[in-house]
Amino acid sequence: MTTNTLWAEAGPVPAAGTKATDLAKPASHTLFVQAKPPVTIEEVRYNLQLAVELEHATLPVYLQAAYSLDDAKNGVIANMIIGVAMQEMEHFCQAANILVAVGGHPAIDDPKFVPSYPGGLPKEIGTQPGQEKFIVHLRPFSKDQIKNCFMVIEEPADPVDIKDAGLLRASSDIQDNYRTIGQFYEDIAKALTDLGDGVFSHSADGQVYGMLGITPILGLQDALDAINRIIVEGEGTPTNPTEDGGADMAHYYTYYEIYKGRKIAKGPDGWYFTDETIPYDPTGVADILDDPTQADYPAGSAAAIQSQSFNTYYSNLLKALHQAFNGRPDAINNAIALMFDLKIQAKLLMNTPLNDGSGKFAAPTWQYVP
Amino acid sequence: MSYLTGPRLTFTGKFIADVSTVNNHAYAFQDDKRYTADDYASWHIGYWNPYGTGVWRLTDCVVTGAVNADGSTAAGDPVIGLTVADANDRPPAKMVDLDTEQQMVSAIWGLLVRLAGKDGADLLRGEFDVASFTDLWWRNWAAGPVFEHPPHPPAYFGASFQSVLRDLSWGDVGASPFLTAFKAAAADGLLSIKFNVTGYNAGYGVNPPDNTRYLPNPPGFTTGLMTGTIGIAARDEPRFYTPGRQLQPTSSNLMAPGNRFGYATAVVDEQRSLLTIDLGNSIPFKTWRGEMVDEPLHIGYFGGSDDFNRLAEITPDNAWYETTAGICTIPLTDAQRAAIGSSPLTVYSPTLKAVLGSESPDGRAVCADQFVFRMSPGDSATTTLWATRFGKPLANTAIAVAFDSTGLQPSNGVPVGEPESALSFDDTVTTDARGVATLTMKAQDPGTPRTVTRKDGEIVIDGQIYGIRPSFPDATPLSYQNAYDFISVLVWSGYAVPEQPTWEQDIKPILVEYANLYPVMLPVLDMGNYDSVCKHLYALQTAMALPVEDPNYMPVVRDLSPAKSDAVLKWATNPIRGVVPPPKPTPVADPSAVAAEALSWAAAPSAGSPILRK
Repeated sequence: MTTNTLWAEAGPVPAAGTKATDLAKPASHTLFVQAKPPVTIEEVRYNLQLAVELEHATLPVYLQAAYSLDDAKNGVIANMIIGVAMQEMEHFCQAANILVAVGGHPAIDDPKFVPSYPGGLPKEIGTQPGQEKFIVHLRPFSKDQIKNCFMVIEEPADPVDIKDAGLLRASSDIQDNYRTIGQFYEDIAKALTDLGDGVFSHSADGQVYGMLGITPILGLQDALDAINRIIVEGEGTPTNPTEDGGADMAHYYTYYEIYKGRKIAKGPDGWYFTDETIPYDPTGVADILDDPTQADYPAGSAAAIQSQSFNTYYSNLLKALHQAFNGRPDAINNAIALMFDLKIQAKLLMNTPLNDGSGKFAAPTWQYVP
Repeated sequence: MSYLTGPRLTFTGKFIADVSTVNNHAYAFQDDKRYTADDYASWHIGYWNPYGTGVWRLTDCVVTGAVNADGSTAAGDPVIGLTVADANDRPPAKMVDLDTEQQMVSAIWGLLVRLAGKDGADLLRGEFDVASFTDLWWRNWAAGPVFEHPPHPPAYFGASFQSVLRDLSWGDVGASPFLTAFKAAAADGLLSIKFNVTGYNAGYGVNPPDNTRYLPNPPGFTTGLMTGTIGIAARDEPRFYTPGRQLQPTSSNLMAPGNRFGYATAVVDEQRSLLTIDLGNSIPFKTWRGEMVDEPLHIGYFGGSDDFNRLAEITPDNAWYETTAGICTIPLTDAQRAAIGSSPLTVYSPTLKAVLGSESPDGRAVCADQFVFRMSPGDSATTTLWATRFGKPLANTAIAVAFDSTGLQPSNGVPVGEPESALSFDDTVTTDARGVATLTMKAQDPGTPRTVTRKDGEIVIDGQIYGIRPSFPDATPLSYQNAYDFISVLVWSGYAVPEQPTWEQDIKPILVEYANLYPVMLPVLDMGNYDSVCKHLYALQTAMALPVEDPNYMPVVRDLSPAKSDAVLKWATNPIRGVVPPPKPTPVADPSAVAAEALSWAAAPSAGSPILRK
């Protein structure tokens, strides 16, 4: 079950010292965000709410893949994906804090907030015209999932080493669309700059900070810094895939490394594979369903009971986050605790046999429980 | 007051008790040993739910009935059909045993109870005070058709929980006349809650003669059925006990199949002349989750001439049970009210022409309110003892208090209740005008009496477990007796927090037990692994620093002494690894303990075992 057999396996791990010539995205898909450059404060709030939804939307698929990995066999990859997911959570909080700082109220506890699988990303993020519709699947880890889902989601504005591969669809871009999430954030930053410092409450009240390196948004400059951090962590910079030129790879390149099975580093004339491999053991992946739903598990089965509990904790997490960003910042502690419970519950499910003759195991379905 | 006086609502539904079971056996508490997946898959180590999370949840619970303060039913009130649920914005509650040698007071921690309106908005939220079950008995006569193989014995049992809901927050209850009156009646900001649990599914048993382990577990594994009642509580009342009229079954062994009646409590509302009796945990079922034993029951009393005087007849069935939670309110005439003031209430079976249960002839009962304690050396704790005679306070009465370990479940070779010097209390206390006596217990270091050497290693269980039973000094075999009416106390071993704790020397020996006994956490956090613990240090620090009542407190099982917890938290501020201590000398096994355990293993899984290990 792969979306594209061409990318199901990454092929042999490249030799150390060879150039990463296909670092740029081969663009089987290119996402765009409907470009509605915000101008008024209401439009900025609308886009920040969309940003919160977008940052959340990636978490179930990233975490499903990370949790499907046996840490003893594929711990390196699991940690790399979880590292990305942690930054998505940070981005989620940053966007929500900015929204609070400009008088908005992040809406998080809502069934519409939760994607369904297979399905698309939040409604204003779509597939480039002329391409096959981009569908997100909730799946265990595979090289195919990395290539055809995660790297599509994280495609940077201007992949480095573009000379070698190029953006196949670059010429078909529609002016009205954002090519990437980074551009979407840049327009929020621009609008905030135009609106000026006066739209900020200049108070940390109602914001959530103190974890994940997050500090309160007290004015325009804090918001611009936070947005810059989101863009750099997510996409790197146009000329450098590492965040701020440091050792941490931006998300797209992290996934590229996982896909290739080897780390990359900047050389004199581009990017090269290093000595450090990223080992992948295909036997260390839980054998779970693609796009599972609660209905896949017979009523009363261990899978059904534990899955319903997972969904309850997931929904409780959204409620706790909603409370945290709507007047009760302390509720973030409940959210953090629930994240821990979710991981335990996910691992428990992935060790719960379906007993249907398939030999497969149950998996989280990430559904909303009112 | 209490849930038996004033307005009350009834709910019915299910619960999930995903308890973990490696810690059910003392022999699994091995020092310095790591279990494998194969060990956990084995019945001997893993037992019936090795990967249990400890989570306890309410599911599918709805309000099925409401009774006004005057005893009339609030039929048609919009409260009927509303959802009773647990937390929707924080981690789930947990259920854990007190101790491996006292598994008969499993408690629910961190439960939030909600009443949700049709639109999903909460009409009521309240925090459930940590409470342990009591009155466990063999309630289901037969396994019934759901099980392809004989179930693990917990399926046959029933028990009840009583507690209070506090920190109440109310939504807009204006649409419900019942809830409006209910809210007004809760003037002390407390509600009284009691629920009955039965029909639990602990999978298939491993029974002689073949001792086969049947998997997968049957549908509904880890779930059970419940009926419950929420009423009004007052501040000056006990939280976990109703000092009313206590009926005891005539059967002498409630842990064996075939019983017709379990313990029951009744109260008389003198003002309104109402008798309310709670039979919610008293009537058996013919089969597991099947039909209730539906023979008529007469509720009455024995008059001066020893004639049975009937006050009411009920014919229980499942619908009755689910809509009333087994509670009947019976209007009394003045003469009846006067008569039962000094006569034992009785439940009589006209079918069997036999008394099923009754108050004792003298009508006296005494019970502790809080009956489970965890104490460190130097701690002092108090509980209140409530003495009644035919439901009325028994003032200025001496209550004898003594050690009694008979309600504990010592494993072979593991001592309980000693040294007695580690727990002190007055051997006699006297009730006040309200029939209440205060019992103060003081703990000292019990040492490490539960470090036991065996053939395959050393069992180390922290501290010691004690039973303390209050009773009337002049009690006779005719007096009211309930084996569960005693106080369980876990006293932790003394422990000095090291000046500078290190992982290898101090912390790993504390935490590795949790890695071993709670394998569900291993894929996320290996408490016996330095790197894993360091990686999750923030989460660990946060959870361990919470109040123990918090649902997210760690360790979930709540058996880590505060002193050792302090050591872990101190280490976490400077998590140095240190050096591996030299290995312990090879222990010399006590041959009698080894032989005893071998015998115990043959006996433990049998369905008729008087000791139920959940």
